[in-house]
Amino acid sequence: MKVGFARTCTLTLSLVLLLTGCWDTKDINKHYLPAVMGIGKGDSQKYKVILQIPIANEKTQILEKEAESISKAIDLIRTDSEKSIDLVHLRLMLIDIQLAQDGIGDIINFAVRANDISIKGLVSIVDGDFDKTLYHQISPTPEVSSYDFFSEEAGWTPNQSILRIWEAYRNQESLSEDMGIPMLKDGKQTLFTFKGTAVMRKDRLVGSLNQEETLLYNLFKGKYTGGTIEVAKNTSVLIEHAKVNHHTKWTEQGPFLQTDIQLNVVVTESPHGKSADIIEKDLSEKLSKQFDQTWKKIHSLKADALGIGLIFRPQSKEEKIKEWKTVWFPKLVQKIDVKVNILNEIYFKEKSSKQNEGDMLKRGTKL
Amino acid sequence: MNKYLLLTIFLLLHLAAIFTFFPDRIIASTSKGHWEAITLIFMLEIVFIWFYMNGLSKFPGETIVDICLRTIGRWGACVLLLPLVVFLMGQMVLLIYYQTSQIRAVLLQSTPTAATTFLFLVLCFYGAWKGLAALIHASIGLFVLFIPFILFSMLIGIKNFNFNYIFPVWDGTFSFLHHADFYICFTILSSFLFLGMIPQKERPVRFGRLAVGLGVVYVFGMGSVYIPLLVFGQESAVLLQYPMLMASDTIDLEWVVFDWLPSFSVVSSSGLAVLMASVLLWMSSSLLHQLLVPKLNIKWMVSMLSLLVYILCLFIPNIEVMNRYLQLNAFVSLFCVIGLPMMIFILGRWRGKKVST
Amino acid sequence: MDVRNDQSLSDLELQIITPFEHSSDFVYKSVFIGRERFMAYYLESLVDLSKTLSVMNTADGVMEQGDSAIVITDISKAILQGKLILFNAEGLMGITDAESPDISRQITLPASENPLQSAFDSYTEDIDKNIGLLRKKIVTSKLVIEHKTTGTEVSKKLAIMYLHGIAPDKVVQAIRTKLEKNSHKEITTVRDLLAILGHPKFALTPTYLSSELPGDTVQNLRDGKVIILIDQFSFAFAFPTVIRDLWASKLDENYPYLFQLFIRSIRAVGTLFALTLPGLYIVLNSVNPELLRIQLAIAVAKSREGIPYPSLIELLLVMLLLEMIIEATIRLPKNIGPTITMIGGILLGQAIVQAKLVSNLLIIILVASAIANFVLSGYLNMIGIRLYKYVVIFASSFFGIWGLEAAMIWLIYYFASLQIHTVPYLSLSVKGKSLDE
Repeated sequence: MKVGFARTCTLTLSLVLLLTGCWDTKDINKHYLPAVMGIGKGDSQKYKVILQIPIANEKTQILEKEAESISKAIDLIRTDSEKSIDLVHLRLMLIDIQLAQDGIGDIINFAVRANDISIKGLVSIVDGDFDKTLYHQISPTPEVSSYDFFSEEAGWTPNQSILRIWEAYRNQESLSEDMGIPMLKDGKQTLFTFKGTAVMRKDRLVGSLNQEETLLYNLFKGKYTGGTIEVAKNTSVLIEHAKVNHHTKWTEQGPFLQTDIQLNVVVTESPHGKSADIIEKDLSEKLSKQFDQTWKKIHSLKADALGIGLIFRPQSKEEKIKEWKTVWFPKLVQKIDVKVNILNEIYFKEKSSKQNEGDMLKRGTKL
Repeated sequence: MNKYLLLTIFLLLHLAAIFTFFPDRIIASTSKGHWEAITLIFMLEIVFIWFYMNGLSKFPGETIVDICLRTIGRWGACVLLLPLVVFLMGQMVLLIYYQTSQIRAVLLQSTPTAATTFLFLVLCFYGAWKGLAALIHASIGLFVLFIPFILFSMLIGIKNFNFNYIFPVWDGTFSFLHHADFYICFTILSSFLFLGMIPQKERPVRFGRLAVGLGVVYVFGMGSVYIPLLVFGQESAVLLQYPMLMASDTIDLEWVVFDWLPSFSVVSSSGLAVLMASVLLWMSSSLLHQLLVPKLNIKWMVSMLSLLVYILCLFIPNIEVMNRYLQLNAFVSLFCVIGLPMMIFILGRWRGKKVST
Repeated sequence: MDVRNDQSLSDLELQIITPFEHSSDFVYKSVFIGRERFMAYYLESLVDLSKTLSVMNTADGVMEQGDSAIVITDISKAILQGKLILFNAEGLMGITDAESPDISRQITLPASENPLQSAFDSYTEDIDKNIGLLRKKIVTSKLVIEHKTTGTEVSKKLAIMYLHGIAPDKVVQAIRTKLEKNSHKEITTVRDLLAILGHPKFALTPTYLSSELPGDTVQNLRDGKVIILIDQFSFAFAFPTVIRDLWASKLDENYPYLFQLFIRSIRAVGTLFALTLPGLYIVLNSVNPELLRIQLAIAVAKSREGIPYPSLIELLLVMLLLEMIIEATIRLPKNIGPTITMIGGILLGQAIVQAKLVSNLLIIILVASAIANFVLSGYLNMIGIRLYKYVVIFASSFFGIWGLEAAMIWLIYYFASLQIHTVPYLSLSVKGKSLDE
């Protein structure tokens, strides 16, 4: 009886508590779900926040406010909008290049701290007219376009770099690596044009890599699928597989890194009669040179965007890891050696160099 | 009681504790060689389990309460077991607080914590009301329901691993020993104490099987620390309140029907925490009931304790205070986790001698 | 023939007649068997007198002599059971098994179950016929059949059956004790039987299995279950149930093992879907929209645009409609059923979406959940799940995915605490040692 009474009490209590509940849960159609957030320098205030809100089969709605902090700006947008604003589906954060030069640490921290922003969202820098890029529209569902632009399953190529919010956060806190952020501007026929990769030291923009350099940057990091390299006029190859081997050594002057890159490529385009050997030779020479230049550029910026600190991590003591960015990275000596192996010419037969030297007639009859 | 059931609940209780208290404490306690700390903890646990099981096996058919009451009297039993009750209650309060704040952070941003906690406690109350046997049976259902989620939320992170962050792997100084956070991890060891609350004849599980079970737990423990570590690196992981959660948020998978994968992590860890809190609630009510008021119906004890826990949960103002209480509780846990198995072991020896002479 | 004017009634006869005073089918009259004159007392509706007499006459007047110690209540009970009471001139009494008019059904195809590729005979109302059916299906001396009668006013014949050595002793013992302890209670419905067996009054899941097919019962017996047959019920009840019975239909065991595995896993998944889908709709729509992928979220938001009520109300409205359609189609004669399906399913479903009363997604979810529900084995299992679905819905609407989870945990706790005749519900089999104690 007593137990029964207790049970009734509990039941009543829980029902009462439940019925007083229903905590302003709003249905999905009462939400705006922005997919893209642009953060730029405000005209009068510190930040200008622009939200792109996709609506199925309709034009994107764009809302904009300025404030001293990002969340205040979002709050102001929320005040004026007819629906609640939920950042849970934010997929792309576009940051104005001017802000990036001053440091994006605060913005990244905001994105990681806010529990309604997923840290798998992408970050990019707008190098160009910020407003124009944000207001630029192509297709009726830009949420998918802007996301697919980077998606490895859709529009990504090794010419573009990718950076997610969590990677940005990790890299800005990390002792062993810096980050490269993709730079965009509005496109003419497409939504965006890829401009290159911004090299950051800690959270500050210090320089940039162009598209070709970005390909090498990706190659170095092991993201190469489907990359096309132009060897010379009319000659280009497609990277099938790349193997990057690092040999690290601590010398008295500091760290020394020997990187061997082994590329397996297929020839997609070459002028008549150019042998595979020549392409191989040209390519490895050219790539070695380009790599060297890119490396020097990054090194001179004193930003370890390639993450070489990580490669040295297994051999380093904790103190050296801590000093990596300030002391050891500037002293780093790196040598890059590129070896190229041509797998085949897709539908063409491989021609040995001997046959190649032979006269045209002979080859003609043979074919 | 079937041995597989016991092993299942043994595993689930450990997992619940691991997902609640483990990764951020271990990552905070040392900046290198985390595996040393993890291994040390589990080595100690296996030693304690051996002592505990060995001691218990000398008293067939009795629970720890029976043993203490019979050998060292009511007062002795109170001295030995009341700290355990305090520890269990503390553990329960902190567990529930941590889980509800995690639920609030990730799943229900606008629901007041009081309501979430209430639902949490209603479940625990119902479970404890039905008794340990029902909870042990339920563990198999929860296992089927939640282990896929756990494995899923742990394994999807592999794509984002950067194995260089594992270094440096060796810490010659054992610096974690000087860190309070390391000792908080000892609270997870309490997950084997429930074995003493089941009478011997229904406890067919032997030490060997428990050791194997603990091996599985060890793998999960390593995973829970190293997954966030390999994704974020020590430098950023140490700044995160919920490292496992954040690690599962970094994944962008197209083939999963749902977005926002940290939800899976929260769902699985809070599901297990419900089981753990129910077991803790049942244990502390049953201890108090047998020690102090054996005449009262145990269901009243369960009701009163759950009300008490609910109030205590609401009294924790923020996560900072929770950390302070955790450290306090860690001291009590050292007493319970080390002292109790040793004491049972000594009592067992003592009795063994008495019988043989 | 006006029997009331006959003054030759003895006291005993009076006692026989009085309980049946108001039964107009009670008849007593004098008959001749052989050359002797007898007074016969019987129920016209249960005894075919002329047939009985002709049988008796050909058997040359041999009739069993009644025991003189028979008390009057036994006589009236015998009359109620369709026996013929005969008195000869000396006041000697006899109770004979009479030929009954043909009022029990022939063995036919099952009406409420749809067996595939197995035996098609089904139980009838006659308990002896049913036992005979079973005896034919399982030829072993291990089959134990115990007859019991319950009730004081209204009595009912029961038969407990189990396979000796396979059914666990404590289960048999538990059932037997309950039956003996409560043998004074009457059984008219299945619920009375459950009350006698001491099953919980508000169980969420059927605590027994009912089956119309003797083939099913044989499998149940071999699984270690105890079967109870009740007279005038064309079903066999198997006790106790375990969770596996939610998705394991006994007929699956006729199929190749892989097929059985496939079918059963589909049913298990169906159970989960039927429980969670409507709750999930609420979760995704109102509390945790972040769980939807962005492309879906936008599409769903669009389809809900302009719907005036919150998703909980929307869901409950359509749910009610759906439950009514299900109920209506089950009760209706077979030739009207499809019409209702068409009106309800196609016309209403289409119209309700076009009128923007509910979103398309909801209809999809609900239909999916209803289909998943029907995948379960056994009609009663479905009702339990159909009911608990609402708990899930309410919990989800308050606490989102955490509420959904809490509802599932609660269900597991409930199942774990359920013990039917000493067998925990969360065991995989009644007899096995695999999961229970």
